[in-house]
Amino acid sequence: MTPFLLFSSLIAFAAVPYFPWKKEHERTLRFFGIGAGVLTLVFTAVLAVPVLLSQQNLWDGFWFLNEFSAFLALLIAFIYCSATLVSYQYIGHEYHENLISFSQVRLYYALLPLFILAMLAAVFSDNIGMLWVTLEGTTLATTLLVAFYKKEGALEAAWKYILLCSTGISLGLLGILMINYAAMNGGSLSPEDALSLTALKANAHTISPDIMRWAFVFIFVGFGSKVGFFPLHSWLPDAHSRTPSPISALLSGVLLNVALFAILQIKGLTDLVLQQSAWTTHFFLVFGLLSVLFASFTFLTQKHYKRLLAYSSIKHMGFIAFAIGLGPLGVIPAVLHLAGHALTKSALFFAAGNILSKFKTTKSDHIQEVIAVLPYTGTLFILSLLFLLAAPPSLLFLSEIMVLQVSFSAHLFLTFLVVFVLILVFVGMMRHVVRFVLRKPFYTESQPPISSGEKFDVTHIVIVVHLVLGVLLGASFFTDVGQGVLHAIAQNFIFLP
Amino acid sequence: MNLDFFHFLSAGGIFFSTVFALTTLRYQSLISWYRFSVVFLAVFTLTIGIERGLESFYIAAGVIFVLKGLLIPGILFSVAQKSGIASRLQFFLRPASHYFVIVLTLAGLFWVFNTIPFFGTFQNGYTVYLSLIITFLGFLMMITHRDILSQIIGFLILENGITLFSTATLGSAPLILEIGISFVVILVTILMATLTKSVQELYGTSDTTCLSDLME
Repeated sequence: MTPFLLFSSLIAFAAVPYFPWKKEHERTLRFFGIGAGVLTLVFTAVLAVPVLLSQQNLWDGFWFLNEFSAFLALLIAFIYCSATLVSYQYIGHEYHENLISFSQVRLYYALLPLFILAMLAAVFSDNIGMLWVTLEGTTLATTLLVAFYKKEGALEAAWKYILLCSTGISLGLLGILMINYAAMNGGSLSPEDALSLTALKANAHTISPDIMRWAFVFIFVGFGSKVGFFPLHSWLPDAHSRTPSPISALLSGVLLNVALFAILQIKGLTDLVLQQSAWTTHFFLVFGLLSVLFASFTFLTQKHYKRLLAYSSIKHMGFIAFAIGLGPLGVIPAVLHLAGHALTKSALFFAAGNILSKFKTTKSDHIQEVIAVLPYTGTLFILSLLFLLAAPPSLLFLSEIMVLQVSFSAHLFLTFLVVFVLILVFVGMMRHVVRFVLRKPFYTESQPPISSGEKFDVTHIVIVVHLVLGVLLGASFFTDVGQGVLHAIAQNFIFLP
Repeated sequence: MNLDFFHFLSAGGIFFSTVFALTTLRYQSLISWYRFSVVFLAVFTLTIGIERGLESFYIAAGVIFVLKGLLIPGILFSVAQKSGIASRLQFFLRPASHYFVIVLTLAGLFWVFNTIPFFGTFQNGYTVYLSLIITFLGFLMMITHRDILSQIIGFLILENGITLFSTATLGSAPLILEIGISFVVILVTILMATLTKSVQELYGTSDTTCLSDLME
């Protein structure tokens, strides 16, 4: 298996929905979606697991796979596979309820593999030009998914999404061109080598630190808009709350991580050029903290449960950036937090999809007693939320404790501030969610009672698997193999003079 | 007339067509001014190629002209006409007031350019200065114009600024980046045009102030 084969298979998966299918084949198309998800997971695992376990990088001159990118690739493929399993039911329900047409089903199953292709190519890329193209590719592949329902809110969200993200990523391009210029003039690298991360790192001493600093600023601001750092986040709550729920899970769970990965790649290079990591970590500390504070205070006022989850993603990405900003000791908890957030947030969006399918609204005030109407979904929603809020034995509990430990010794005041915000978020979010999950029903003429009961289905199994996997990942941290893998991942973006 | 004359002519052409695009009142002339700025950009790329003896720049100039000068304006005209977008553009800031902001921008960036030593490290200093101005004017158009078509053109002007930066600073741009950027710009334009059509159909206007359902 090579990256090229993996990418070719995803292109083929994207083409299949446009074969001459008839409307009666809609179910086959959904089955095919699951097949594509499972095969992608298998292909990615064949590529990534040996890199993770043997800790030997894979490099073919253009694509590069180290422990960190292998870990991210596995996360992307796993959540893609889960999303296709959940989509089978979710998209089927929407189609049979006439909420979407057959052409929309086709579009969904064509764009989904392209979105995954763009993300996997981004984490596999050794070429920063390709990294830029693939990151913009994620925006292009998902814009029509954000506008999927073609309603007012969806179009608005899609417009903001493409405009803000494309503009942000264009600024990132300016940064990449600066690096290219600095490498060609200072290090006399060829135009192609001046885009290769491996060649750039090997020739870091020849790159002008002045130009590199500015390039990093442009890239941090540009790609930071895609991560959702405050104040460049405004597209995120809209886009994440308007897409079909399995796509929301992928946007919140993995896309933000991929954008962060892109910034970390450039951070590694910048640290090498500047021969220190303090300069770049300050950016992460400041923007991370601002994002945590802003998201925490804003999302307490939200009235839509999907927007609430989207704002929580800004908070968690801010927390990861904050952890990275603490220096080398914050890197391992940042990696743990990244994985824990991806698994838990996607599980929550899957559950939110079930609630939306049943209640036909994302307004929390219009929903009552989810626990009685959807007993499995309601229970798993609350459980996932507790995991997201770092209740033990969640992986996020472990990562947050570790981050606070490091932060406590470095920035006492900031630690107290973060702890205060975390408590505030815990109370506010539980209050919001418990209200609509447990609130007694109120029936009016315009709101007739909703039929109760549900079967334990594949979506619930997927949610349980996500939560259990999160706990197991946390437990693996205490084993020798887990420690070894985590340290190897962290080494990829720690600067060692 | 030597190459320097064509350099200045094309660089000035990019700047002035961008300024006129920023202050024009109708979408037809907006797209036309954008087209002019692209033609000047293609000429600029060609003259750089002749000056440095780089054949790849001739191809780049041709690609810029065909994709950005013919294809993209064609897509935008077609969408605007088919979806019945009103000819008059919508502004947050009066068109005449833009001249004041443009002068401020020129002065501000001139000060930045001469104060921060970083900019002194680039060859072709005046073109780097100009590319930053064009990029900023693209931003300005996205902020001060209310209608969707202007915001799309604003994004494309911003992208022109980046292309100018790339042409002026890089001896020869790597092929993968050239292809990638062209591919992305075309796809972004097609997607934005698709959204423009949908917004016009749903709201009956291309004014972005109607996109405020999700405001908090």
